[in-house]
Amino acid sequence: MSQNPFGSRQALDKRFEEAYGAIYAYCRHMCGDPELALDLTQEALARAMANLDRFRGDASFTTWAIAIAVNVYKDYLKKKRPELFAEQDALNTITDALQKKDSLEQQVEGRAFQADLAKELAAMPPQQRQAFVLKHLVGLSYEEIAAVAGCPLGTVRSRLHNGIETLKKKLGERGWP
Amino acid sequence: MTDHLKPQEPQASQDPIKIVPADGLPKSDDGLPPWLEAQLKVTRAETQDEAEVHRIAAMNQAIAMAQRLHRERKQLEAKQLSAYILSALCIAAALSLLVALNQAQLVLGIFGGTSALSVLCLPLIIRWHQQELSHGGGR
Repeated sequence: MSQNPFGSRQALDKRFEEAYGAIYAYCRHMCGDPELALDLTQEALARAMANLDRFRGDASFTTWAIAIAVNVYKDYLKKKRPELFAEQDALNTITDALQKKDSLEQQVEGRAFQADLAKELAAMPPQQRQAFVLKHLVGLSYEEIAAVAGCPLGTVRSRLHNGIETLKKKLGERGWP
Repeated sequence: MTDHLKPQEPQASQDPIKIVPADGLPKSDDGLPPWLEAQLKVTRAETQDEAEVHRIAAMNQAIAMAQRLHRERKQLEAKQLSAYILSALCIAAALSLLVALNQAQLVLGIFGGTSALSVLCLPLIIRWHQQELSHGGGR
């Protein structure tokens, strides 16, 4: 692998562990399929590891790694336009929920929300979905989203605002809250 | 969950204009209602749990892929280097050929020029030779 910019192996592992969760969350909510998300996450992590010498440190390591994940997902879309994963995802999540032992009703409600959220995210324009996922499901700041998406801060705010308005409306139609 | 991934507190200083919602409930700086924020918090936590299940396997797999990518990159770099060297050799050979051709042309030119001069001078040489013979014969 490339040269370690963080000095020690422990520091490097810690950065990758932090980035892993964020990358998985991004891929998971962009594609809606847990297995595909895992494959995309592995690909993004592998590219990050192989190109460590290109990390200059002008953004956080997680932001840099997510920018790689964004490209991996774009490459995936270029190769194969995925079908709507939301239906399959909804089925998976509800089945998983039924297998849980504790507070079944709460679990099913939570999973039902996730299934509806996945459907609405899949229906959202890609740029709005990206901004929403990065802000509310990955936890990046506006500045970091602007850096990852390569657009001005105002555009990020606008995309987020529109995305949330659409989501509120659509989830409202599905009976949320 | 890392600090980086923790949900961010709404910051009043970043967005001083507060939208007063019709339902009177506070909203985040980008208009996210509390019920949605709460649901998203749960979703985020569950996604992290989901990620955690596969973390070790995914990291190991990624390391193996990274090593393969790195190897492929090195091979590609080596191939590129070979291609550059080959190109440089081809250019050098072509230049040498051009120089050689140019030199050959020069040699041909000299040879041709000398030959032409010899042909032109041949009658004079013959005449001179005949004169020499006649003079010699007279002595």
